[in-house]
Amino acid sequence: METSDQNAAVDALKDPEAFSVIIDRYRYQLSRYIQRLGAFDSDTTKDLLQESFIKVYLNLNDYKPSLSFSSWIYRITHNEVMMHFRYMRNRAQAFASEDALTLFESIPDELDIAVESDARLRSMHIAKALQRLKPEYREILVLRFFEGKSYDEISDILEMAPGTVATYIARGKMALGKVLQEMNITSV
Amino acid sequence: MDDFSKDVISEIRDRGITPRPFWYFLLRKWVFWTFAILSIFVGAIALSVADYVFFDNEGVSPAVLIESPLESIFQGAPIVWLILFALFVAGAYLSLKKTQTVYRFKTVKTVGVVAGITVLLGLGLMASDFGHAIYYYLTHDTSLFEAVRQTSDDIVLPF
Repeated sequence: METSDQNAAVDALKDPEAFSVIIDRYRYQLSRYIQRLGAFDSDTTKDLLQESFIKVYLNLNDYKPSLSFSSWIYRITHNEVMMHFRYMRNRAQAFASEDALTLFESIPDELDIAVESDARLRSMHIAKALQRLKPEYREILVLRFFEGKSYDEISDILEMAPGTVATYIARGKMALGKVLQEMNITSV
Repeated sequence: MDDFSKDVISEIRDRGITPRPFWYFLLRKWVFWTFAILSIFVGAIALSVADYVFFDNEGVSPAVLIESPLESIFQGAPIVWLILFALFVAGAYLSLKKTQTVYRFKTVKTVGVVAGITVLLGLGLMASDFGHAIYYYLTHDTSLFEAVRQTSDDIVLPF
C-alpha cells in the first residue's frame, strides 16, 4: 500500500533516506512544471528541481495537513523558479525543439484556442506564445491547463484569492489568443 | 531510489541540511501576527491624534469650515498622522498576508477589514481622549516632533 504524502513527510523527518519517496513521487511532474514555466535547458531544470526538493526538506516542519501536499510542494517549486528568474534577470529562454514536443502536446479544450493539428508544430507554437505572455498569466495558464490544477489549488500555490485566480485565467486566455493571432497561428 | 533521489539526499547530507525545527515556523507566524496587531494599534493611535489635531487643537471652527472647506481641511489636516495611519494599515495587511490563510481573501477585503478594525479602535481611543494625551506628550516632552508639527501649517493651497 502506497504511503500517503503526509506519512512520507513524517518518515522523512525521522530519516533523510525516506525523503526519496517524496522525490520519486513528484520528480517528473515538477520537472515538467519547471520547464513549462521557463523553457529551461535540462541542466538548469535539474538544478532547480534539486534546489526545490532541498527547500522542501528544509521546510518539512512547516507543512500543515490543511493544505494539500501537492499544492505545498508546487508552491515551493514555484517560488524557487521565480527566484531564479529574478537572479537571472530574464523571464524565458528559447525552447529547444525537443523540449517543447512533450511539454505542450495536448491542448485542453477549455483553453479555447484553435491551433493547427500537427502535434509537433502545435507544441512549438504554444510554447513560444506562452513565453511571450506576462509571467503572472503564463504561470496561471500553465498551472490550470497543463498541470491540471483546480482554482483552489492554484490559490494555495500562488497564495492569491480564488477570485483573483479566475480573473487572471480569463485575462491570460485572452492574452494567449491575441499572441497566437499576432503569430498568425490561429483564427480565434 | 534512483540516481536523482540519491543525488538530492547526498547533497542534503553534504550541506549538513536538517529540517528547520517546528518552533521556528511557530515563532515566525507569531512575529507576523504581533506586527500586524501592533500596526493596527499604532494606526488607531495615529487616527485618534489626527482627530484631536483637526477638531480639538489646531483645528478649524465650523464656521470657517463651511466658508472655505477645502482650505480649512487642507491647512488643518494632520497630514502626518493620516499618512502614519495609512502606513500602519498597509503594514498590518502585509504582515497578515504572510500568515496561513489570509491570502485566500481579496486584497480589497483584507485591507478594508484591517482599516475598519483600526478605525473602530481609533474611535474608542478618541472617546477616551487618548489622542490628546499622546499629542501633549509629543509636543511638550519631545523635541523631535516640533519640526513635524509644522507640516500641516506650511501647506498652502494654490488657490
